[in-house]
Amino acid sequence: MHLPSFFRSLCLTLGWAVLVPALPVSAVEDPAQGLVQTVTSGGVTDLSVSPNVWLFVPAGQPATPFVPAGPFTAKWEGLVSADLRGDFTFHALVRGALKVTVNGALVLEAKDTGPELAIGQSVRLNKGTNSLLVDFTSPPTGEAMVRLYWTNRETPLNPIPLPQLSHASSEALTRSLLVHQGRDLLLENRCVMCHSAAGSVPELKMDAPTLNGIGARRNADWMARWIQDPHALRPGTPMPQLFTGATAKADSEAVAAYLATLKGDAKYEPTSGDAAVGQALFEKLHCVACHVPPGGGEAKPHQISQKQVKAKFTPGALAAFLRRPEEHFKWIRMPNFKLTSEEAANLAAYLDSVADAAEAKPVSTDAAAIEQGKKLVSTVGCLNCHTLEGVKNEFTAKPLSDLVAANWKSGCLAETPAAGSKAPHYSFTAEQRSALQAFAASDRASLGRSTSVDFLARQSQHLNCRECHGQFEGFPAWDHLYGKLKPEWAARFISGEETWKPRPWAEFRMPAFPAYAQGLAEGLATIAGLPPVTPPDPAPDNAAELAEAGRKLSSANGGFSCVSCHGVGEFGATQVFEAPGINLAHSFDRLQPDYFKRWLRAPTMIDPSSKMPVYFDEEGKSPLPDVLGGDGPKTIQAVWEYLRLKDKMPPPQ
Amino acid sequence: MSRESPSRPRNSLQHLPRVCVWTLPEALLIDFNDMQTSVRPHVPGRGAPSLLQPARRILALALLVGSAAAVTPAWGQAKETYRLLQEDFPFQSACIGANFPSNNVALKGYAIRVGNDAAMLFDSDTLRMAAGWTGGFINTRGVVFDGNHGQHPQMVGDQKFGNPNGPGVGIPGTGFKDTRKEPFGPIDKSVAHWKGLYVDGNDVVLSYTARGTQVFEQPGSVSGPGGVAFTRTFRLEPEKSGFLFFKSQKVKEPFVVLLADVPGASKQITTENGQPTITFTAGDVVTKIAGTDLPKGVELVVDGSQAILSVGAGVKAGDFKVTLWSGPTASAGSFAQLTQGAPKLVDFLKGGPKRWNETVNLAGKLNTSATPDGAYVTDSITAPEKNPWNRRVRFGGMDFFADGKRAALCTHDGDIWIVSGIDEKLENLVWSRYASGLYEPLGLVIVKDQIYTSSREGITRFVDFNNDGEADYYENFNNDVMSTRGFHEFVFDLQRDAAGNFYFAKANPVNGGGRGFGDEKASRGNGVVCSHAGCLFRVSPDGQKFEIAARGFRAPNGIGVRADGQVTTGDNEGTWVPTSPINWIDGKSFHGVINVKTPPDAIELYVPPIMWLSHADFCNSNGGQVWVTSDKWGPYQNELLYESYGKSSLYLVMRQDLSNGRQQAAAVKFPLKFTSSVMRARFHPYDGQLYVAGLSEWQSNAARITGFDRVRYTGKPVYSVNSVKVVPGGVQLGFSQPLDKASAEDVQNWSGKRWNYIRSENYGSPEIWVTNPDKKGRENINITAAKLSPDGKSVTLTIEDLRVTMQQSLKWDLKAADGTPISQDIQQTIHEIPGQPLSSLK
Repeated sequence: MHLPSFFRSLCLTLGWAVLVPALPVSAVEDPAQGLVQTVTSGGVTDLSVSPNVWLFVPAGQPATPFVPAGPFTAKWEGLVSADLRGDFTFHALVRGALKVTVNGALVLEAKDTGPELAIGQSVRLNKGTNSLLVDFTSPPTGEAMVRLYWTNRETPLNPIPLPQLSHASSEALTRSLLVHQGRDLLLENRCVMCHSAAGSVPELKMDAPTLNGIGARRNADWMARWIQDPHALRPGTPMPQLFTGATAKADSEAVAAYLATLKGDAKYEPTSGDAAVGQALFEKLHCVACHVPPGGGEAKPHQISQKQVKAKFTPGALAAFLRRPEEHFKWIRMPNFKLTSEEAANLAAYLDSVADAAEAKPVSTDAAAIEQGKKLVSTVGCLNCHTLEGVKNEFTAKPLSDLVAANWKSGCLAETPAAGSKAPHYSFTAEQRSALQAFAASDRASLGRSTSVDFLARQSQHLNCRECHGQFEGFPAWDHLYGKLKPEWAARFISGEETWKPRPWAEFRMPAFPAYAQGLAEGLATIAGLPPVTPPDPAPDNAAELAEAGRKLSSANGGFSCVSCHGVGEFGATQVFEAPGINLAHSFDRLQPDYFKRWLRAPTMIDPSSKMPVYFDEEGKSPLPDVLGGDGPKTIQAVWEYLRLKDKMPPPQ
Repeated sequence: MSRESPSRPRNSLQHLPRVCVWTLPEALLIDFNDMQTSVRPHVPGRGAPSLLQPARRILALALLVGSAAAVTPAWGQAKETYRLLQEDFPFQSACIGANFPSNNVALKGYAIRVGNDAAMLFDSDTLRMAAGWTGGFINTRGVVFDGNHGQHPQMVGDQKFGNPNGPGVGIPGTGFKDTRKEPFGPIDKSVAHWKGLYVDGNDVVLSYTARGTQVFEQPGSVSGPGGVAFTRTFRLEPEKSGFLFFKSQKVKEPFVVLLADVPGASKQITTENGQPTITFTAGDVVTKIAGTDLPKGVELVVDGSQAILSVGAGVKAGDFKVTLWSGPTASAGSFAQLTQGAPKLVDFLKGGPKRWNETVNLAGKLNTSATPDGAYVTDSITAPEKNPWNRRVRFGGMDFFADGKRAALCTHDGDIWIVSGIDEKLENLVWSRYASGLYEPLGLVIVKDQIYTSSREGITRFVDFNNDGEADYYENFNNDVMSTRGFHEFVFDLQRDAAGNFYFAKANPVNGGGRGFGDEKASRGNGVVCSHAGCLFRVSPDGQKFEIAARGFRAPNGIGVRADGQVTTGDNEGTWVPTSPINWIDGKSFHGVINVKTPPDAIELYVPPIMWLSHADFCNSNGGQVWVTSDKWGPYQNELLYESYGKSSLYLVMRQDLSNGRQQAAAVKFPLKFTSSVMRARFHPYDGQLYVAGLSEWQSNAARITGFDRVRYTGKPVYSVNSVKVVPGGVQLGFSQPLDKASAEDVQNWSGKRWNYIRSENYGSPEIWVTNPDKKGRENINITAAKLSPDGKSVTLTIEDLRVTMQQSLKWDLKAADGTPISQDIQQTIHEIPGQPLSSLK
């Protein structure tokens, strides 16, 4: 290792250690936000932070991955804030038994409510914070569910807004979160690929880029440098450093020389694109949420620098990668933007035009070196993560269960690679190592359990969902998506199977995360206390009548004029202007009924920046007494029944 | 003679979106009409006593209610139920396109029905007869018709002649040269100027000057074996000049009138049947133009591809006619027949027959909502949403006649309605129609019982010659305002100061989708930026002087004018407008919206508004403002009220003077409910109550498509904040009633937030923290103490780290000394904290 490279490596590694805070796996944006959720089952207790008093546990499943399935109790503790002293009433839907205590007073007790909300007693909240304690006991069998709402004179029934819930940290919580973090690191770094462990967590089966045909896609010189010190090139990568000591450089180059021979069948033709158009596309697609373009300054911890793209990708391979990032790596974080070949070529042209020049060092074609590289690939553990047809993996490691906690300090977890150690080196920070050690000391049974909330919390962080949602204009904020979408539709949308675009006017586009879609979609429902599969929502007997009323309500002629901004199927919006609405013919498939009803009642309660007007008065009455007597809930139901007709919705009038 | 065929054009309905005439069941319709015949014509100036017996009135109402049910369309029926175009009214004004020559658009167009299912298009900016066609009228594209953004109506039918964009009247020898700096607005007035339009039954007479000579022109048509020909019947009325017995009416300055432009054709001038005739021949298509009874000195000439009417100096007053026809060569022989008949203009000065004989008789509704203290209530003056003509009614301007019993309201759809029966009980509201066909009027004022509207065309004054309650003359009072094709170039509001000056505002044309203002291409058909885009205008009391009074607006849907001429404007969130402002117009400042025509030195003169109102809770789309001129409307005389179109709400604006002579302000809502949006408000000249008209067209939470309400002070004590002043370290709030000390001084009962906006080219703005601009949203402020004044009517809040901020909200839940709850919230803008240097916040 020559000196500058060493220094760079050192600086980057240290920089990473200093810059990266602990990433507690959590579904809340601000670490102080949310409530402490304590779940106890089978004598095991788990603490985590829950965004709200929301819970959905399907029958036979554990409440969290850290407790066994079976009857459980749950408790939410924290503070609820009000901006003015006022009288509030809590409401709940629950399967199980629930007690809500505010400032020490029991204000709501409810059990197995069915679809009818249980309504508590009015309670005066102080301006500022108030203590909130919610106790829940699951039913002995079957699914468990909690959804807590509140209302006061000026707030229609809604879940407590997430920023108004907070909690104090505690040692017990920190300890518990450290175990969660350790589990996350173990999954993310694919420890189980070498140290096998059984379990149902989806990420246990997470792949790594295949080596089949890698020589056609990656420049050998870059591969050599990457293998020699991946963390120098990309801080935070799960790719370990496998070679240390005097032969590290030669070994890395040998492996690269071998990999360079793996050309596969794919041919990559150099593309030519328009760099300026590519740059505009880069901006439009908000690539900066996850990347720093070359020359764009320091990468933040969640960003990957793109200055190496020219050195890394063979000519043409970058454009091909941009078009189908998941082609050779199913669980890649980079989503599929459904780029046209022209768009991909333009983006590649832009990135190439600003990327660092490729170091065009020729790779060894010496047969001995190649043979040595091949041998290393099959013996040092590459193939535990990376697939490669026709080469036998000769590397084995102890199963996870054999690795006693006390030893989680050396080997892979050594601070610096020990001389002569064959263990891969991960550049973990001290905190990450302690998290892994905390996990090692736990019963580790959580690897055998999975929940969609757990998956959502972890992967929404890894995938940087919040870097777009909530940051850029026109994106629904991430927290607003909790409980918004029907999971079936969300899964289609996130996976990229849905071809209809909800926001066709947007310059950005929702990219596809096919490997993650199902888990994220279910998690966005269950995190808000809704089932992972949309339950039946039978039409009422008078659905046709209500739908006709809903049609009138949607019209400009004696209705809310929804059609000014929202199209209905083929029928275009009449006054689309700046704030176009999503086509209503898709709303029934997209939206959770609970969300829709709250949204229509008071959209700015959910999203204060929404352009959608609030039509109903403080008492929830419709301003249109001619339709359904102005009854608020009936009016909202009528619009829902109209939406139920989906692509058969007749134009509003 | 203008019409050989008096019967209605047989296809007159075919271009409507569907047959959308009054859809009452026939039995009801007859009964309704029968009932209406018993109503005496309603004559402005004399009131409108109804002869309806109470029982009949009830019947009338019942029928109207019945009609509401009857017009509810069944599933699957075509969507349009309004009559967007009227086959029984002779014109529609709008920006209107013809098929040729290319880009032939009359920016201030009058599509005129000339009989025989033919139409002509006249542009009042250029005095150009832009086109003539047969077999249809115009389509209903456009923001006030089918709601289309970015398109305007286009002729429908078979075009027979066309004249290119540019002046239609010129100086002999110089052709039709366009000397305007921009291709918008009226052409050089010394060459030709629009005076107005007379309506008489199915006929229209255009009035303009051509180099000082008064010209009346009646467009018409004739039908014969060769098809339909167009007639332009002229009357010249030169000024009288000379002395005593030698006075004569002769044209002083010669002028030319463009008749038709037929490029690529062979041409000849002949005399046929003793009439000078121009013949253009292009392939199998012949265009013929003949003059009938041309006085000496008036000639038909050809210059290049143009057929021109040349009027020489010395031509005497008189009538003559030009007939234009185009068709296949085979039919050309019949042309001579079409030119027969002496020129004859309708007697347009006598006033035409009454055309809208029915009235819509309704009862209003009292106490439709009330403030919690009961001090203010709303009464609804029921609008004629359902009417025998199926006209869409969306009120855009309103004023009272001198008798106070009647008001005139214009609709964005182009009509003027008059309602009588404005009294305490509102039991006998009688709605009648006064004028129609206007180009998107959104402002109306009445001066000496004469109605003025502001529209895309400018300010129009209306004259009813024969006192039958309908306008006979639509007089151009001032048409200097430019108008491009842009659908978003709304002309908003019309107000006057005590000196009689008129004020109105104009929006910027926006690019497709709503943000930015650019060139034709970027705007995707939404227009180009002219130098009047986003300006406020002042027009002198006589209509002669037009000036830009202020610049830098985006969509100022409503202004306020104090008697002394102090103007305020609202504006609409969008490019350069982060959220709704209340602009204080001082004649020097620039108000923030930059377009390509904004003078660079103006941008430096930006001053922020006296306050902002947040999009999310206070105002997402502005209406007008009104000063409380009444002493019968509670304790707010001389205060400013702000109308929110988008939130259908009325606010009291509480102002505070600053050290630099400017102001900062706060607003509190009158918690009332209105029938529709709150957009145009005026105080009644006698009852002193506030009347509010509005419409629902773009984003609004308005309940109904239109509304006309009264906000009535009941005389009960008002429980409200009535002043907001920033003081060192806090805010002092004045209340109209003494407060309960314990309640007022408990900080638990007070809360507040603050945030800033980013004024930029982006559409609107996120809300960002004042102390940390990287954080989105609102930050809480810490109110550490609340101190009640000895008289109990003022509370001083101590606010930790009080800052200059674009938006601060305060909210309270208090009790008055007598126990009455007072729960309110305000928003304010803090430009200056007394004792601290003035902010440069922009």
